[in-house]
Amino acid sequence: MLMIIESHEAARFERFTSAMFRLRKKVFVDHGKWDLPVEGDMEIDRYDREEGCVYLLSVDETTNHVRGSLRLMPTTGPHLMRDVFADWFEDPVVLESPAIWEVTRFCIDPEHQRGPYTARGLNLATSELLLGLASLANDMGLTHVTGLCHAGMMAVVKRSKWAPEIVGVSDAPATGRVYLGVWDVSAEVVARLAEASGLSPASLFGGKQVAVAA
Amino acid sequence: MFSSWALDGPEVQMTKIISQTLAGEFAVGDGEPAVDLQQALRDFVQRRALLHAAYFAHRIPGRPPGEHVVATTYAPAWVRHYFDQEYFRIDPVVSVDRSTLLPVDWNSLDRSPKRIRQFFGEASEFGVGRQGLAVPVRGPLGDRAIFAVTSNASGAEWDDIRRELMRDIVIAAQVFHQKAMSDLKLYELTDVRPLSRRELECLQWAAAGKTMQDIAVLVGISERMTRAYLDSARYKLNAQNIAQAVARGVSHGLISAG
Repeated sequence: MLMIIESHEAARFERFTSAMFRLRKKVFVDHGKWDLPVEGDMEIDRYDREEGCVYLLSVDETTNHVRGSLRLMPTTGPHLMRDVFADWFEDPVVLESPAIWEVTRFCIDPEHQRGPYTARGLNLATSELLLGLASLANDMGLTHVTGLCHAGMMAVVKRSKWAPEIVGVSDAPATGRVYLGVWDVSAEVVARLAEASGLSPASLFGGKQVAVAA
Repeated sequence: MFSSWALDGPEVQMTKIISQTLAGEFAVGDGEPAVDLQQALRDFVQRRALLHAAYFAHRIPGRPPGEHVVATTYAPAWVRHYFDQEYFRIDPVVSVDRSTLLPVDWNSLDRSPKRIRQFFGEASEFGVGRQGLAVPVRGPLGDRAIFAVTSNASGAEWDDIRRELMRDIVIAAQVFHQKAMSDLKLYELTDVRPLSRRELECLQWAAAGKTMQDIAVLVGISERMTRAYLDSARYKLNAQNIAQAVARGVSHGLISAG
């Protein structure tokens, strides 16, 4: 099941957002050795605290375990590529538009990299997050999403039916090699991801209703 | 209808009218006449067979705390009634949206409280419309606004209209906001955020009159990326469309004319 939580609602969904922040620390700080601010066993930065963002969480509906998550922010305001990552690239591509949002902190719990799988044999958490992202972005009227991926996650998304255009590569000291990807958003992309995974965009959000979805 | 009111903590009062009007050159899309913000909203809804549009800037850094900007096409009687009744205290579109980033379809709002039912009932008597969509806007300086459009379409028709117009509405929301903030001198037209090499290349070819397809071939990138670069260049140059982005790019010396 996929949940959409906005950062201003984090307290109301504390159980899920804390699990997500812990997962992010595990994936990015403990395993990935990224140099990121941590609060105890959670990775939280000023965008989570102050700027406001939208989270997508892939959640096991029976155990409530958070299998994976990502963070979305509009590029018209403060965002990581503009404020932080641009310095990492020699020829940075900082896209800013109300129709382009930024994805960061896309991660899957290492425990779930070997399943569960969808009926079509794809990783369920990855499939839910990619389809959910494409579906939400399309409902919101976006033309693209952009984001930085480490090599492992880039390998996963390149194998998916929604491969990004890679517009930058950097060997940043804080993270090691990262790629800047741009994903195009359309109803066709949503249909393609739904077909490939066997998941239905309409039944994806079992928890909270998406505001833009009637 | 253009006014501003001040909000201090939970107490909202209509205390202040900004003397400066949002007049001056303004257009959404190509070839629209120079008009003020309210006229631009009116043109926007007319061209798209929508009923009404409303723009509300609720966080404007550098202005007195709580100063807001409002422009709507709603009937003046409704706007007067709205303030007389202090509906801004309970209007779920306004109160829910302050920190929200995702668009809100009015259908998804909880209308069960009696006062909210009454509010929507009266809004409908004043012809506000059966359907509505509110799009939050976030600007580069922490500025925030809401842009809303309404329609009298039935539920099924509305779903189609919203799907078809969503992109248009999202872009327009930002364009109206850029206009309002520029007129308040929050954004100076000289403030241009850095354009990337690809954005400049695409804009330079646009200045030479090339189409999106031509530019993609000339630069050696996909059409989708061309669109992303041009849209981003437009936004960074505070322009309403590509033609205006080209003109601003030339006047800032970022690209050469034609």
